[in-house]
Amino acid sequence: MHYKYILMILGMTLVTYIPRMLPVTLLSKVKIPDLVVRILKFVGPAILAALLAPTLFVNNGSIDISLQNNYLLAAIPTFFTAYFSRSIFITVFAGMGFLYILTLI
Amino acid sequence: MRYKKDISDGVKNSIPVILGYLPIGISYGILALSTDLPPYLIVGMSVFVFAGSSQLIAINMLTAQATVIPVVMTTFLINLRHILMSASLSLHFKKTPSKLLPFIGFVITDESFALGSTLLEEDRENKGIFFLSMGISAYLGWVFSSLIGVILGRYILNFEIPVIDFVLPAMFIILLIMQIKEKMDIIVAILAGVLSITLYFIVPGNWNIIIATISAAVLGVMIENAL
Repeated sequence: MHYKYILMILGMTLVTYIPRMLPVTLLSKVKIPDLVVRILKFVGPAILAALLAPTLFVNNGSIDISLQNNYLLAAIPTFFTAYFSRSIFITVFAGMGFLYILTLI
Repeated sequence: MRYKKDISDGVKNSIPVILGYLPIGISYGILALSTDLPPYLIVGMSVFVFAGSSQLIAINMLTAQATVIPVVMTTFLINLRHILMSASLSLHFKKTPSKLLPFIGFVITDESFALGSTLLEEDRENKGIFFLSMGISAYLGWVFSSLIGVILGRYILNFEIPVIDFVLPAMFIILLIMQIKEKMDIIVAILAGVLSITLYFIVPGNWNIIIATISAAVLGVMIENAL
């Protein structure tokens, strides 16, 4: 049996469901403290940047800001595509396309 | 049936959401096969968790030999942003029967929020039913896409898709862009990115992400207070 994974999925289910469900269910009764709301507003951009930065800038265990780093290069047009399209679908496909072109060069 | 129009409108509006899920769900299914997660748990994760970015991160972390606690912690942090989405949508559900709200909560995702916050502004008889049917239809689309991914990866594709690993960074990029609403968000994002890279070389596991996120968010509030 895969107890470790079942436990992981259970944990992920709880920490995904609770933040989605509690505010919409309870908000007429409870108010989130102002300071918490202000921190939460920044958690969104912060976690995405924290996840993204090492993926783009770290290559084979060291920082790589060079023309050999295809992930970093592909990310630049992907950012523009995201900014102008505002579409997950278009951005994901364009991003893979940009990276594919770079691998051919 | 008095809900008929709201249900069919909801299902119709879920189509663009499902289109967005397809490439992510399929990639998730294919990538998950490279871990030792069995297929039933790969699809099971989609059934229970229903969060594309979290699921892809989990797979990514499992590939890097991460243990359960960092995976769950990272999932928790990445889903904290849904608190604000859920709170903001709650304004539209004042007349919705409260027994529907726990189900509505389950189907709040980045995509359904983005669409819902626009569509729910329109005058509509049963906003709760409308959003819920849009969400359930999108949810089925999500589970189905990851199932397609598993089937494709397991039985049909016997070659590697070279750029599939870029699905996750590309998704982070668009989600990050969608989260940026003011200058301070950009500053916090840069802080978090720099901290995350620095800590990557110092702390073990994936704790760099958690520490960088919390520090940058708190620093952001402190900078705001100082200005």
